[in-house]
Amino acid sequence: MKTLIGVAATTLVTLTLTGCSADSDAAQTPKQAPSSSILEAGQATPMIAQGVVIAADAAVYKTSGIGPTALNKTAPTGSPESFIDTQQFAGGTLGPGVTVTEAQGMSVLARIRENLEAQGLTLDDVVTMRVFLDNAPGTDRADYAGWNRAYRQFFANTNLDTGDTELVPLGTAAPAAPLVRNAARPTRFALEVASLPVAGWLVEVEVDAVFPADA
Amino acid sequence: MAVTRRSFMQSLGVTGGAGLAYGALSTLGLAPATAQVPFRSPARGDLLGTSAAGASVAILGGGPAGLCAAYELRKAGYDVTVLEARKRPGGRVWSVRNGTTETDLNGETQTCTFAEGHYFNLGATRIPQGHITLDYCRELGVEVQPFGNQNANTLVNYQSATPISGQSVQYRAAKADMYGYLSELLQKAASRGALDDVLTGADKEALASFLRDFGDLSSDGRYLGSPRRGYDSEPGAGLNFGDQRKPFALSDTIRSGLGRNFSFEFGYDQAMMMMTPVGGMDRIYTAFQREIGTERIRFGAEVSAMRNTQGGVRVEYTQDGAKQAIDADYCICTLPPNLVGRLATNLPAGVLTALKAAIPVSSGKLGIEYSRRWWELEDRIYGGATNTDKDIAQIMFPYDHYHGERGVVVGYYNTGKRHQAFESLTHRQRLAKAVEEGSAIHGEKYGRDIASSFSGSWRRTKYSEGAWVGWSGSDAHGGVATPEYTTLLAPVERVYFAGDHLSNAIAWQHGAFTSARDVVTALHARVAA
Repeated sequence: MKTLIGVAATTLVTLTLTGCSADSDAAQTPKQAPSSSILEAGQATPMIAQGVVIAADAAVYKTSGIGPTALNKTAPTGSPESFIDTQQFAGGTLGPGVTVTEAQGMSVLARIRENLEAQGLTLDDVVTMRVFLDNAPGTDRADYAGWNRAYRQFFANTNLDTGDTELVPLGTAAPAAPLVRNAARPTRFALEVASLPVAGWLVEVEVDAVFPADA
Repeated sequence: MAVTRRSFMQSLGVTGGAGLAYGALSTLGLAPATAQVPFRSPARGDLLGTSAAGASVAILGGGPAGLCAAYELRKAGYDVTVLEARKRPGGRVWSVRNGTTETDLNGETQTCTFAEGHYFNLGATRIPQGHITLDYCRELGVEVQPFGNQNANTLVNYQSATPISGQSVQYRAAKADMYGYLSELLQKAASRGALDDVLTGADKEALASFLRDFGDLSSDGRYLGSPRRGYDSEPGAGLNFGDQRKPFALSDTIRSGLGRNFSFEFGYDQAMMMMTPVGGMDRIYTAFQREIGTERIRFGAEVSAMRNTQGGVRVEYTQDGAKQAIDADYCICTLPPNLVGRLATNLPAGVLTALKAAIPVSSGKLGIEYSRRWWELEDRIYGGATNTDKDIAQIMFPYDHYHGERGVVVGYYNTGKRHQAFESLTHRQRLAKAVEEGSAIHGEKYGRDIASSFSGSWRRTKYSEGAWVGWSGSDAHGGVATPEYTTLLAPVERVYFAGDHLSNAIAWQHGAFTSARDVVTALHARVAA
C-alpha cells in the first residue's frame, strides 16, 4: 500500500508516502493493501479521510484512551498546565498563541506515538482516531482549533500533489516544520465531553492502527 | 598523586595497545583518572585452564561500542558474534560519499552523488586530542589529519536590536571588538578603584599590563580598534599599509551578542587541535571490521528479542527475511537505549524504566557539494565553521581537498528545536531552507554552483532514532549519576549494556569506547575468575 510520488526537483529523490492512498481506486487494486484511506478528490492537503478500507486479514491494533502526562512540575498538580510536555515546551512555557488544549494535544499524540512504537507501529499506521475534548477553564466550548493545530504537528501534514511537507503553525507563530512528517489521513471524530477522568485533562484520544503488510 | 617510576612502569606492563597509551596518560595525570579497575586488554592466555575458555559473546550493534568490545574480546580468544542491522559498520559514525543510499523514516530515499573522494561525516566528525579514539586510530593504522574546529576567517551572524543585526562579521573582528571593549571596561573599573577590595596596587598594575595586550588597548587604556579585526585591503609592500576596518560601537558590540559562541573553543573537548581520520570517520570502523573478521559480524541482522536463559543468553534476529537465533554465554547490548525497550526481553521492570529515561536528541546534517570552492576563492576560508542564530546554527567548511575544484560544505549541523525545523521536511525543502539562510550570511554565491546534496536526521534514521540521548535529570553530555544511569551500568544476569549513553562523553566515540572497555573488563574478570 505504498504510494510512490515522484518529487519534481530531482531524479535522485523519491518519496514514499505510507498510511494512505492518494487515489481512492487503490482499494480496488487486485492485491489488497491492509488498509487504505478514502480521501476527498482534488484536495492536496486533506485533514482527515472520508472513510477507510481495512482488509479482512489485516491485523488491527487499538489503543486505550490516552491522555497527556503530567510532566510540567512548575504548574499546580491537577491543573491543565501541569500536562504540558516539557520536552516540547521547555519549562512549561507556551509560545505565542499556543493554547493549553493544543499543548495537551501534542503531549497526547507524543504518548500515542510511544504506545505505537512499542508495538512496532508508527503514526503512519493510524487509520482511525477518536478525540474527546473538555473545554478549558473559563471557556464554554472545546478548543477545536487548538486541537487541530496539535493534530497537524503529527498527522496529515504532507502535500499529496508535491510530496512536500506542509508547514504548520504552532499557536500564532509563522508556519514551520511539523514535529513529525506523516502522510496518514485517518478517519476521525472529535467531540466535547462534560468531563474527562483525570483532573486537568482536556484531551483524551484513542486510535486504531493497522500493521503494514511487511511487519 | 605521587607517581613513582616503579608504579609508572607497572602500569605500562599491564596494558597494551590502546590500553598502553591511554593508561600511560592517566598515570601522568593527563587523562581523567577513574575510580574503577583500570582497563587492561584481555590477552590470549588469560583464559587458559579456566572452564570458560572460548566463552561466547553475542554483541548487539556494530557501532563504536560494539566493535570496540568485539575487538578487545578477540584479543583473548572469545568467540564473538556481532549482530548489526545495517549493511555497514559504524552506527552513528556515518561517512556519506558517492553511492551512499538511505531511506529514512519519513519514507524518503536519497542517493549520494558526490564526486569521487568527496564525503562528509553525517555523524561523528572530530576527535579531541585527549580521547582514546586517537589511540585506536594509531593501533588500527587509521591515518589522521587536523580538523579545523575554529577559524578567525569564518563569520558570525546574529539578530539583535542593534545596527549589527543580521550583519556577517568575521570571527576575528568580533573577537577584537569584544575582547577590546571587555578589557577597556575592566581596566576602567580597576583604575577607578571599583575593585580595590580584591586588588592590590601591584595586582592592578599586572592586570593593566595584561589588558593592554589582551584587548590591544591604547596607552590610556581605551579600545580604538585593532589590526586584529582585519583589513578591507590587505597590507602589502612599500607604502601599502592596508585599510583597517573600524570597530563597532561599544554598546552595539555588547548588545549584539557577537561573542555568544566564543566559548565553544574553550570547551575541554572542542579546543584545537582537533583531529579526524583521512577519508572519513568510518575508516575506523572498516579497520575494526578487518581486525575482528568480517565473518564474525552479521550485517543486516535486525534483533527482535534478547533474553537471559538458564546459564546463557538467547538473541533472536531477522536476516535476509529469515528468523534466526543465537545462543551465547554472554550478551553485550550496545543498541540505542531508546530502542531496547522495543525488543522482546525478560529484563526486569526497573531496567525497562531506566531505559526510558534516555531521551533521544534531534540532530543532523546537510552536505552540499559545490563545484567551485567559493569559500576559499572569495571568503579566504580554509576550514572551520560560520556560526549563526538562524536554524542552520552553523556552516562547516571542508578540511580536505584544499585548492581543489570542488568540495562538500556542511550546510547545517544543529540540535533540538533548530534541527526540528528541518527534520520533518523533505530533502528538497531542507536544502532550500539551508541555502536561503546560508545566502543571508555568505551572499548569493551560497546558492550557486551546487552540484549535489545529501541530508540526514538522526531521529528519522532507522536503527538510531536519535543523535544521542540526554538523561532525564542530567545535562546532555552526562556527568550525573542519575538512578536510571547507574542502574544500566550493572549487568542484568548475563546481559551487559554499553554505549556512549553510559559514559561521561555522550555523543563522542570516546564515550562508547570507554564504556565498552568497562564492560569488557567486568565480563573478563567474571569469566577468568
